[in-house]
Amino acid sequence: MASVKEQLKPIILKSLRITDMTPEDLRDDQPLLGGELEIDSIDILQLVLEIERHFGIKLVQANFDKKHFESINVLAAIIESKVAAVKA
Amino acid sequence: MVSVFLHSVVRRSKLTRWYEHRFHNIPAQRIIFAIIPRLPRFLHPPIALATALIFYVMLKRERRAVAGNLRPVSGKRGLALQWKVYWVFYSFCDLMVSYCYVPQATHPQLISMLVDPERGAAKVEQALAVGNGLIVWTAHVGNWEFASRLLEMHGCPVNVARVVEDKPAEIMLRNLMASERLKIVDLKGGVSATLELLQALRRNEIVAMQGDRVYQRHSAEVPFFSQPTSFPLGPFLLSQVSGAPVMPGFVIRQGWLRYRAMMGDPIPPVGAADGDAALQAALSQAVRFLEKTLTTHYDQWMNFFDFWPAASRD
Repeated sequence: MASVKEQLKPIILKSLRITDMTPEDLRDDQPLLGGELEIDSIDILQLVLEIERHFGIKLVQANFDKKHFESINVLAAIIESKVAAVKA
Repeated sequence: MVSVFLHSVVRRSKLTRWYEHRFHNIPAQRIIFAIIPRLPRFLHPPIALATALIFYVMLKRERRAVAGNLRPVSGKRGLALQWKVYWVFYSFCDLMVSYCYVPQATHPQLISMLVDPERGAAKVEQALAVGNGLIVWTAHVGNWEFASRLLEMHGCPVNVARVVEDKPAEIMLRNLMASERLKIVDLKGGVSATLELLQALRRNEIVAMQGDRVYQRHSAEVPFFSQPTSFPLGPFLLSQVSGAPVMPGFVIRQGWLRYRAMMGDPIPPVGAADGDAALQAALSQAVRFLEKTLTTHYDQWMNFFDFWPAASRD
């Protein structure tokens, strides 16, 4: 089964409607905020919606912080921990 | 799912300046807050009538903009239209004076300012009982500050999402309204503000948003008084992610510092797998409620800029 990072990259492109990049173009340390992806306050809702739907988790809860969108690596780690918590 | 359809209706809107005049400043507000509460209440309406007339005459650009906005809404022309434009300025006087009372008013005092104590409370309670929070979709109609204080009465924090412009007068009004129960979330905070609102809804709190001004690029066009008009999609996307229903609601002026709350039916969240047509349909439902409200209360629609730029040119 594909890793969380591998699953996450197409979700990012789809929710941000980026058509001129492929998942392979996204680096693991790619910044999600303030970088070339230019995620804004509404994009983030579309991204959260897709992530929560795909992984069956509640990503944004009380302890969630903007810093968790720092990079694909950081976000994937959070998702992994949430998925593990759901399975436990 | 985000599909091509939304792409076709989303426009990257340029931010509009809401007004051009120089009277929205701290000294003007201090004058209001220092003088008005010391005057007997019966003097307020005549003072407001005179003040509204002065500003109606002085603020030519705003007057023209309001006339352009009211023309398609009211169907009025000439003097009849100008009379209604004047009443928009009067309504604004009521709003400004209400800042002397509404922020500090106790809940019984707020209730006493309603002409009808029925304020859609049952609808709000019913929505909150589900546990996903509630998004109240309001607009620049009547007294939106009063509306946010009424929402406080449901025992959970109210998060008012708005753009606080970097102007001392705006910041002063924000600070005046903010309290333990009423939190102002500045949408200029971008991603942090969005996450804050989503977290609030997941704590089963209320989020209040004004839906009649496009602040950023995500909007959709829906018919509004027979004209395709852009409205922000943010509240409906927030609803989709959080599962909170969107309830359109306004507080309408029914006399000097007297109000009536008008709440629409809750609009269920668009399903996570539903397409963009569903998002646009939800937005249309809220806009129809605004349209219905404005049909009779258009002289309380306080947008002092060209809402439909082409409409105010003639």
